[in-house]
Amino acid sequence: MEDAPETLEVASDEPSPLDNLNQSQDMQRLARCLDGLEPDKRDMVMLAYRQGLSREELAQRYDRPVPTIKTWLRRSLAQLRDCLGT
Amino acid sequence: MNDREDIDGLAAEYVLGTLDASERTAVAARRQREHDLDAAIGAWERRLAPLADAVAPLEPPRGLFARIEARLSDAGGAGQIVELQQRVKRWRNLAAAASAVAACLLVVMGVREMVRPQAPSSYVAVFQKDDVSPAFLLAVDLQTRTLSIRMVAAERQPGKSYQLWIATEQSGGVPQSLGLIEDRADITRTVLTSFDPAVVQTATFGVSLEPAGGSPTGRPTGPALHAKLIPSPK
Repeated sequence: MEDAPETLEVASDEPSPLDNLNQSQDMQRLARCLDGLEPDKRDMVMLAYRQGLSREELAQRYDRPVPTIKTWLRRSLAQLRDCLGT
Repeated sequence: MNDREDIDGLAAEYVLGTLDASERTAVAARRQREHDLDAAIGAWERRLAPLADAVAPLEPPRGLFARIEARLSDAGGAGQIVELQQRVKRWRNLAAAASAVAACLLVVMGVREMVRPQAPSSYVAVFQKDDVSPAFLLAVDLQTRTLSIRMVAAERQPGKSYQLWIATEQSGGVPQSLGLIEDRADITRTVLTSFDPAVVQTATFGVSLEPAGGSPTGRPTGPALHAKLIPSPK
């Protein structure tokens, strides 16, 4: 947001070029932060978010107990939050 | 610290979609009352929103899918999927083949049913009074071994009774009484239950004019009409 002052936002439902730029910047930032996770943890977050896998399904896939999966998810998400700084 | 992290972790998993159904319901209810939780959820929705963006999907990290596939085949997952797909195909083929066989059978049976007339169980016997008028009509159902007899052109004779007889090979052609033909136009009886259907089918039936109340001797004594069974026209 620091790059895009609110006064420049266009009052329209269509995303402005600036919105798109912000979006892609958000995405790039998120992608960088995801890359900072261990590969397993990153895959896990992606699978959960994009394919809707539950803790149980992740536990089966990664052959770990459900509580372990929960701990991994929470740690990974906290790491993401800290990386994003938002 | 612990509290804050717990709420934030809960919010993160809520947005990520990994909570189970009961946890999810609980969080959805709690966020209505707990501002912290609601705000944390909002923050996580913004953080992860780029992942959900369908217009400009995030390029997955390089090698992600290769790693997923490798993991799947490590776990035997890919192999299982291929095997399941093959199994599904096999079953589908089998089901199609079975359906085709069933359809053929249906046609064959249908044709046979049309070509081969059903073994009839309904027979009639017509007792002719003269060349043109049937006096009595006898209908026999071999399956239920019931008979019904109807007076057609026959006329009641005062002081007399009509009596129905059956003569079979088993009885050496000796008539056995099947009872009197009452005034009612159409009567149904189950007097044939003691006879074998095949015997009934080839038997000779007779109607004789007897004294009122039937033959006094147990054999026909008056003038008689005779008839044999023919398959009932449908």
